[in-house]
Amino acid sequence: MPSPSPGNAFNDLNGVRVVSASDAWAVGDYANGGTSKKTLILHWDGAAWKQVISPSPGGSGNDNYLFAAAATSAHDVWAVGEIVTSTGIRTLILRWNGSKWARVASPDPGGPAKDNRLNAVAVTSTSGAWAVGSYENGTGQRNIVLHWDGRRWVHVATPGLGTSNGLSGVAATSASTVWAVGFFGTTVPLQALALHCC
Amino acid sequence: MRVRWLAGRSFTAVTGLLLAAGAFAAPGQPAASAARCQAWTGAQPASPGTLDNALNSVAVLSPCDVWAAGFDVSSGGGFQTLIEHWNGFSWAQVDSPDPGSGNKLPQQRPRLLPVQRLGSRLLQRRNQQQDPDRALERHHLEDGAEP
Repeated sequence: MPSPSPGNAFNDLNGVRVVSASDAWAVGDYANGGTSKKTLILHWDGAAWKQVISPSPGGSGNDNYLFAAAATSAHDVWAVGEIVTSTGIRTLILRWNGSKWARVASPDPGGPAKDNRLNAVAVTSTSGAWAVGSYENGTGQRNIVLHWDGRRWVHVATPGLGTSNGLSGVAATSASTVWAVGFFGTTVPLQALALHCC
Repeated sequence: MRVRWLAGRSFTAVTGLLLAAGAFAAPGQPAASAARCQAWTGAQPASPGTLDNALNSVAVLSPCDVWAAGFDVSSGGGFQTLIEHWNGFSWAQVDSPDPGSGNKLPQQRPRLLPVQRLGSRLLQRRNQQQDPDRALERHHLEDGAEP
C-alpha cells in the first residue's frame, strides 16, 4: 500500500495504531537533506494513507521524533516521542482532538539538559493514559512513567530496581490493567522487567 | 487517582494470601479490581541471557493473559528472541523461533551493551544516527555482527 514520504532524505515510521478499518494512524519522522527532523503522522481513511499536519516544536536545528501512538476513539489519539537538542533530549507528546494535532506539555524528569525519552503510550480513557520511557539521572537511566489524569501529564514514581532501568513498552485494557516492560540491572546481565499498575 | 507501580518480587507474600482467598480471575474474565491487580505480582520475567535481557513491547489481553516480547543475549551466541507470558499467576518464557543465523557477537560487543540500553533495533538505530560517539556501535552493526 503506498504511503507518503515527504522527506527527501529520511522517512521513518515507528508506530501504528488502528482505531477501525477506516481509521488508523502511523507516526514517525522525516527530513529533507540538511534540515532537522520533523514529526511525521500519516492517517488511513479506509482508502489511502495521507499525511496530516503535525507540530514539530523542537524548532530549527533540533530533531523531532514520534515512536508510538494510542487512541480511544477517532477523536482522541495520542502520539509520543522526543525532541533532540544540542543540550539534551526532551519528552514530546501530541494529541489529536478530531480536527488537529497539538502538543501537550509533558515533564522531563531528568531536567532539560539530560536525556528524557518516551518510547510507548497506552490509553484507557479520555482521562487516563500512560507514557513510558527512560531518563538520565547522572549515573544511569531510570524509568519514566507519565500518567495523564485528564488535565495534565504527571511523572509517577516506579520501583527503582537496579542502578539502571528503562521502559520500552506499555499496554492497558483498563485503568486497573496496565503493564509496562523494559529492563533493569546493576551489572551485566541486565534483566527483563515487567511492572504493573494500579 | 492513586497510582502505584509494582515490581513483583516484593509482593510474593501478598500474592500468596490473595491466591488463597481466590482473588484471581480466570483467563478471559473482565478486568480485576485495583485490589486484585496488586495481587498479580509474581516473580519478574525470566532473563535467560547471560549478557543481556530486555523486553521491548507488551500486549494485554486480560488480567490473566499478557504477552511481552524482547531479546536475550548469552556469551558466544547472538541476539535471541524472548517471549514471555503472564497467566495471572506468574511469568513463563515461551519458546520462540530465532530465524537469523550467523549472528555471533564479537568479543568486545558485551561491554557496549549497557551504553544503548533500550535494546530494540529501532532505538539502537536512532541512537546511532543521532550520536556520533556511538559510531563504534554502528560499525559493529554494519559489519553484520547482529541479526
